[in-house]
Parts: sequence; C-alpha cells; structure tokens
Amino acid sequence: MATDRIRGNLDLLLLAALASGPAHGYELAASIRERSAGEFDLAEGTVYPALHALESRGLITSSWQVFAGRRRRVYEISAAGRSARDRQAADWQRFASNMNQVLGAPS
Amino acid sequence: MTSDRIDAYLDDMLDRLEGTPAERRRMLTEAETHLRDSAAALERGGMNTEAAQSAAIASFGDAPTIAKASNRRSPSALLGALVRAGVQLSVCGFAAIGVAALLARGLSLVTSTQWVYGAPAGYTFTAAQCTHWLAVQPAASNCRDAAALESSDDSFLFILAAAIMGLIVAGVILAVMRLARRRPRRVVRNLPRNVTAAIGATAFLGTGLALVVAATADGVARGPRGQGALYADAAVALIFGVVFGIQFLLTIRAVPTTPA
Repeated sequence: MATDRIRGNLDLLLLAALASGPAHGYELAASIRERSAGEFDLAEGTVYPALHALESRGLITSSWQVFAGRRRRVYEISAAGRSARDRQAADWQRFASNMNQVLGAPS
Repeated sequence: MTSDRIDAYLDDMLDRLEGTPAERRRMLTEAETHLRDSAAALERGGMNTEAAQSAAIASFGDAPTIAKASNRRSPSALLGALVRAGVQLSVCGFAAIGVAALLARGLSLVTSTQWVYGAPAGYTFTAAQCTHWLAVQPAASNCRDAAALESSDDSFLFILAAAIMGLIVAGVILAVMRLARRRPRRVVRNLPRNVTAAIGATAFLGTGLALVVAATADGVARGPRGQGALYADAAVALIFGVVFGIQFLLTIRAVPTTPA
C-alpha cells in the first residue's frame, strides 16, 4: 500500500480507530495495523502530529493518564469528530464505489 | 555504561522540535512512551534490548521526518498565532505611546514647551504654516510659539487616542475570550514566547534608537517636532525594548542539567 495514500487518509483512519473508544497513540498505531491486516504499516511517529492537528481542529480531545507507571496522552473522539468521520467515510465509500465501477470490479 | 538508543533518538528529536516548551515536551513524552512500549513488546517476543530499541525506532520513523511533521502548522493556526502575538505587542505599543506622551508633558513642565514641543532652530515655517498655527493658537506671539503650543495640545490627543485604542483592543480580546469559552475546547497554539519577545525587543529598540538619532540630530530632518518629545518617546521605547530583550534572554537561557 502506497505510504502517500495512507498519509492522505490518516485523519480518517485515526477518527475511525478512535470511534471504537479512547486510546493512546501506541494503541492507535497498532489498531490501524491490525485492522488492515498489516497492510497499513505507517511510520508510527506520524500518528502524533496528526493527532495534535485533529485536536487543534476540535475533532478529538485528550488528557494525560498514567498506565503501568508511564504518562500517556489518551485521545477521545468528540461529537464534531464523529460527524467528520461519518462524512469522510461516506465520501470515501462513494469514491471507492466509483473507482470500482470504472475499473469494472464489483462495487 | 550502557547505550540507550531511545534516549539518543529523543535527544536528536528534541534538538529538531520547534514550538512552545509545552508542545515540545508533549511530543517528546508521547514519543518516549511509544518507543518504550514498542521496545518492551519486542523484548517480550525474544529480542535483546538493543535490537528491540533499534526496531522500535525504525517503526516509529526517523527523527528528522517526525520532527518535521510535528513542526508543521496549518496556515490558519500560524495566522492565528501571528494575530495573537500582534495584538499582544499592539497593547504594549499603545501603552508606550500613552506613557511617552505623559512623560513629554511632564518634561515640558520642568524644561520648556519650546524644547519639548517646538520646532528645531533651523526649521523654516512656510507662510501657510504660520497662518495655520497662529489661527489655531491666537494667544501665541509668534509663529514658532504657536507651533509649539499646538504640538503640546496635540500630545493630549495622543494620550486620548492611545487610551481609546488600548480600550478597543482590550475589548476585542475580552470578546474573543468570551466567545472561545462558548465553543468546544480547542488547542490554541501561540508563537513561542522567545519569538514574540525577540520581535518586541527588535521593534522597540529599533524605534528607540531611531528616535534618539532624530532627537540628537536636532536638524530639520525631524520636522516641526520638539527635541524633548523625541527624547521622551525614545526613552519609553528603549525601556520597553530592554524589558522585551531581558524576557528574550531569559527564555533562551540554557537550563542547567544535572549529570546522569
């Protein structure tokens, strides 16, 4: 999977992963890798600037929590984030469906 | 002594990160937690410590790339930070104008209206200027005195204008703060304090030095303005500049580290 394509959709991937519940960065990177069966193997560090940008746009919130003796920033999707996720997911589904139709594959 | 690859990686990243101390500390803390978790998981899978740390770093991404991504700001965030810094410096600017006008007024009481507000000796008034000054200051005996008295009166307008502008800016700040409380909580990124302080120091010290030059030159180049008023403006600008300069030096002062 082209890294650029993952990077271009990282916001949606993170919002989708956070829709399942609050998580910290390490869990989110692992979740995206597992859900994609290892296909979306992005540089894990890029998750953090993307999370910070989502937070500055009000799509997620975060707070420090201590687990196993380490401080972790735990992220949670906001109501605005859920709306953005739904909208972006619908756009993506429409795009994928159209691509499949053009390529002649079943949508 | 054992080498900790994660520590070395974090040192490299810290050196490349930009932003406020809180932003850099947050990114660094998150990176360290992530790398330690990742390395611990790999060690549990059978790797030795050094190999696990190397693999964790490789998965995380190289420090220049991650720091570059972290340093990136959206144009709107950058614009917002610049506007906030501009407003902060404007408030100081208006305060400086007000203080300088008051200082000039005080200076005229202990020296003379002519020295503080009068035109330099070499300045030649045009006939139109003389007619204007004498019309607005009919009590003055000559053109030069009329110009000085009018300039003195204008200084009150400066104080008033500075106070009104300061109140408007303060009102806008309060309105924006009130509005921000009603909206969902967002992370506000400001310019780093050392950048704002450096801009303030440069602007005020530069203005102060330019005013000192204009005052000491005492030639027609400064126009029909009094030497004392320019010295008062220069003194206030330099004081503000020095305060910003000290603030800048304090923000960039190296934090002493204790040996490990």
